[in-house]
Parts: sequence; structure tokens; C-alpha cells
Amino acid sequence: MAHAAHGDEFNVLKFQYEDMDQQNDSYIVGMWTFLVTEIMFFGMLFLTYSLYRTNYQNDWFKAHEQLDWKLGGLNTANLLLSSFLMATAVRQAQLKDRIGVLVRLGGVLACAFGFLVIKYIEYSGKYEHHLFPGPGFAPEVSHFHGANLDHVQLFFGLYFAMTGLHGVHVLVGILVIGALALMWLKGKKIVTEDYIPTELVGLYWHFVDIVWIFLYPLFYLMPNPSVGSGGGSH
Amino acid sequence: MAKSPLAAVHDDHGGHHIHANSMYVKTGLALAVLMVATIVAAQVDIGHKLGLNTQLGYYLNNFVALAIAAIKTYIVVMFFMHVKWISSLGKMFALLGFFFIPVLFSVWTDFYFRQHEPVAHWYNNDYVESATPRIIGSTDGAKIPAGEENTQNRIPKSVW
Repeated sequence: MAHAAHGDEFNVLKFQYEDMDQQNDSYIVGMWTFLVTEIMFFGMLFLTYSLYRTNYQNDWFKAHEQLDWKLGGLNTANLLLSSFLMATAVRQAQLKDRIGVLVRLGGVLACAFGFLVIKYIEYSGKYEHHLFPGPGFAPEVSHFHGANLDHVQLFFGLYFAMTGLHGVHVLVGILVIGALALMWLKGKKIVTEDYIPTELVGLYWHFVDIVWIFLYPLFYLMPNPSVGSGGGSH
Repeated sequence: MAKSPLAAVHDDHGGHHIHANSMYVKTGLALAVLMVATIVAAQVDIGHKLGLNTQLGYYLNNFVALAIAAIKTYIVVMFFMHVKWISSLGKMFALLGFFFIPVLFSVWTDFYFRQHEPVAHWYNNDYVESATPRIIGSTDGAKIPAGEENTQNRIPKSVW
């Protein structure tokens, strides 16, 4: 088992637990409890989104045309790849393969940075076109084909709120995964002897991926509510 | 410790399963296929293809997009997040979050059936810029123009 460090043995199994199964179970249940609060946190925004999407379908469809589904798709692929790398990093942690974990966590970090870079390109484009909600909101009216601009502003309000909150989660993910990778690099026993810290960070990262799985079709891939009905009617 | 070449080993010491690499690869591929399916489905007017009326087709497109997202979520939760192999207690907690979503959406019906935006003082047009009484029967959520009295559709304050 563990080598003696500073004169005392490193025990993977903490004294308050009967065995590893019980200890792992406690950690995983604790992490899922946190994720439940996260689901409700994002759930409230999805609730608001669905209410106004239902009410302003035509205007929102016209507003969503300003978003680039290719950039959104690139980010979807990006997060999918990072999720895959994170899952296999956990497997390498179980095998105590330090280099394998580090390579994969490096890949996850690269994907996460790539995600934020693409997001930055998207945000700055919207900002330049004065689509950021608030006093500076001054869109080019002709781009919206007669849509009610209040509803367009509401769309961009929720777009920035939801993808922004998701972006903050990606940023936190970078910090947490970075800290985890640093511990692996230094060979800290808390991560090398026990795969659970890596697993818990992985759970968080997969959750961030799940939120994007819903954000992508809802914001970037809206079907046209007035297609085939003469078009352009609202 | 030597790296185990075994496909799947039960590690008695750690008390956890180590899954085959192929499990992660298959999960990743399934998610990639579904991602492409989402994009393709969004380009197709499903209602038109099936010869249905437009409104139904629009709902079908939305349904397909959300169904694919739900399947992707199920796959991520079960395989990448290992919920398939965790204890019943863990499974219960994992399910709990998704149980709260429909509960949360019951609130939706309240907001949906309101005839005004949830902003105070909308009824006397004191805050015309932020208060937006809805015109009843409008599917587009049209709002009463600034300065105009909303006499026809006003709900007496005593009612609500």
C-alpha cells in the first residue's frame, strides 16, 4: 500500500468508514446532491426560456437566426470530446496510470479553453452588433424581418444569461481540473492512491456537458414556426 | 503498481469497477452519432416530409430535438458518470435532480396562463416600458402600446 510519508502512513480508507465501498458511495452521493442543486439552478432558467419561447415563437425564431449553428456545433463536438477524455482519465486514475491521467486531463483543459475561445468570438460578434441586452441594445432592425424587438431583446437576455452561466461553469471546470492535474503532476497521494477525487471532478465536468446538450438545440437549432404557412407571417 | 491490461477487473482493494476502454469508446461514438442526428434533424422539416400539417410538424421538430438531447443525457449519466454501476442510494440521488425538473415546470403553467407579465403596477401603465400586459388571444404575445389604456382585457385588480 502507501509508503510512509512524514513518518505516518497514508490511509486511503478514512477512519469513519467501514470499507471502500461505503466511503466511495458517500463521496458519490455527496457529489450528486450538489449536482441536484445545479440541475435546479439551471432548471429555473430553462423554465423561463420555455415560457417565452412558447409565447414569442416567431420573434424568437427570427432572433435565433443571428446565432451561428456551426460555431455552436463545433463547441458541442468540443465538449463531447472533453467528456470522453474525462471519462477515460477516471479509468486511468483507477489503474493508477499517472502519465495517462495527465495526458487526458491536458486534453480536457485544451477542449475547455477552445470552448471559451469560440464563445468569446460569438459574444464579441453579438456585442459589436449591439445585441447585448440593456441600454446598449440597438439591433439593425432590418435583420429581424419585422420581429418585435422587445422579444428579440428577451431572447438575447436569456441567451447571454444561460450560455454565460454555462461559460462560468466551464471556467470553474478549468480551475478545478487544473488543480486536479497539478496534484497528479506532483504525485499527491490524495489523488494517486484514490481515484475518487478524479471521479468527482469528472461528474462535474459531465454535468457541464449535459447542460450544453440542451442549450445547443434550444438556442441554435430552432425549427421555423411559420414554415410552409406562406412564410414571414407573424 | 503495474498497469492492468485486463479488459474489466474488479478491484477488491479499491472496491470499484474498472471498465473496458471499448465501453468509453462506444459511448463516445453513440454521442457523436446523436450529435450529428440533432443537427440533421434540425435542417429537415419533419412535418413536411411526413405530409402532416405545419404546426404539428413544428412540434415534431421540437420533440425530436429534445428527445435526442434526453437520450444523450441518459447515455452520459449512465456510462460516463457510472450511474449504471453505483449503489441504489447513489442512483436515487442521481435521479432526484431530474425528478425536480417536472416539479419545477408545474410552475410554468401558472406563468403561462397569466394575462400579464409578472411585473408590478402593469395595470395602471405606470411602468409601461417594463410592464407588458398581453393581448388576450395573441399567440405572438403582442403588447399594449405605450400610453394606451388596456381597457378591453384588463383584469380587475380585485380578481387577482
